[in-house]
Amino acid sequence: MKYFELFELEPRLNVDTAALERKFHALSREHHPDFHTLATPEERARALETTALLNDAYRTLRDSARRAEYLVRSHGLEIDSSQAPASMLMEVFEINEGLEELRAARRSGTGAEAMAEKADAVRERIADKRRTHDASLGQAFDRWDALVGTEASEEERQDHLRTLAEIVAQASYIRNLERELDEEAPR
Amino acid sequence: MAYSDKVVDHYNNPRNVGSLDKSQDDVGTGLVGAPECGDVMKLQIQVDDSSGVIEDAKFKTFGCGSAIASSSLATEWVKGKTVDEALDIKNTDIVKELSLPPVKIHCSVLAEDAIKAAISDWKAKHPAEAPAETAG
Repeated sequence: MKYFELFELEPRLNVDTAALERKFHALSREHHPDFHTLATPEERARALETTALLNDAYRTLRDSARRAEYLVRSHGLEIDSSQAPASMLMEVFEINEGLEELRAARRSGTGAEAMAEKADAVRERIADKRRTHDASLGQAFDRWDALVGTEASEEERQDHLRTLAEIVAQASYIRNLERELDEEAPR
Repeated sequence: MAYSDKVVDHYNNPRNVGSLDKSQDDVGTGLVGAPECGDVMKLQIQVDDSSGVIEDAKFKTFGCGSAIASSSLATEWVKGKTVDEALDIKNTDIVKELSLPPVKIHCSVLAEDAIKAAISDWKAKHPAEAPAETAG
């Protein structure tokens, strides 16, 4: 949980990213190697090391999915590699088929207006998946945060982390769909 | 990182792409996904009820070249085998055949999972056919 400590934060999942950014800039200035040119070589080396660590920590904590991943891994758990629910996979598969139809329509010279309409339909389905996913991630975040600083048992914590790992593991499917759509029909 | 010739061949000329009617009694469907990369793979088998031989297999994969090649190869391999023989196909066989690099091993795992999922779906439709004793 080094990253949270570095920013003097409790290990909560809901993070005020604006405050995190301000803290990052303040700490970066404090430890920037340029401000330590008169220090001993050891001190300069340490400043450089801290700066690198700060950058990693900031990149990890500012992104909600990476933050959750970090928390899960820090507790010795892996992101769940078991199968996502069948209904979820089915939907992802169908949306992929929708993207495939979109590509086929473009190749066969479908007009711009009809293409835009088709793209919007796929976009809406992906956005819907994204909303559902973000909502369950948000709920898992809230449940975890409610445990921080309480007397909750280790078992209860691990239970929450496992649920979190399951949800985080589904993020890649949605990211893929978003990327594919972006390539096919950029906004 | 360059793909092996065999991966490129399966990618450019995928075997058995398509779908079978999953509502049919003799069709088993496996739909699996890889959380590492977001790939999804559907593999279907059509089985002769009396002999348990896989007569046809189709796949459809949304993913990288290695995932497509792994599932294409998997459909080639299961055809003509009995369901019990097909269960013996290991992801390491796929890795070897396609010379997959370590970062793409999960694609072969996905193909093995897809075969197993398709077979268990078919078996669920045929509760009477208990796993037969394999001769020898």
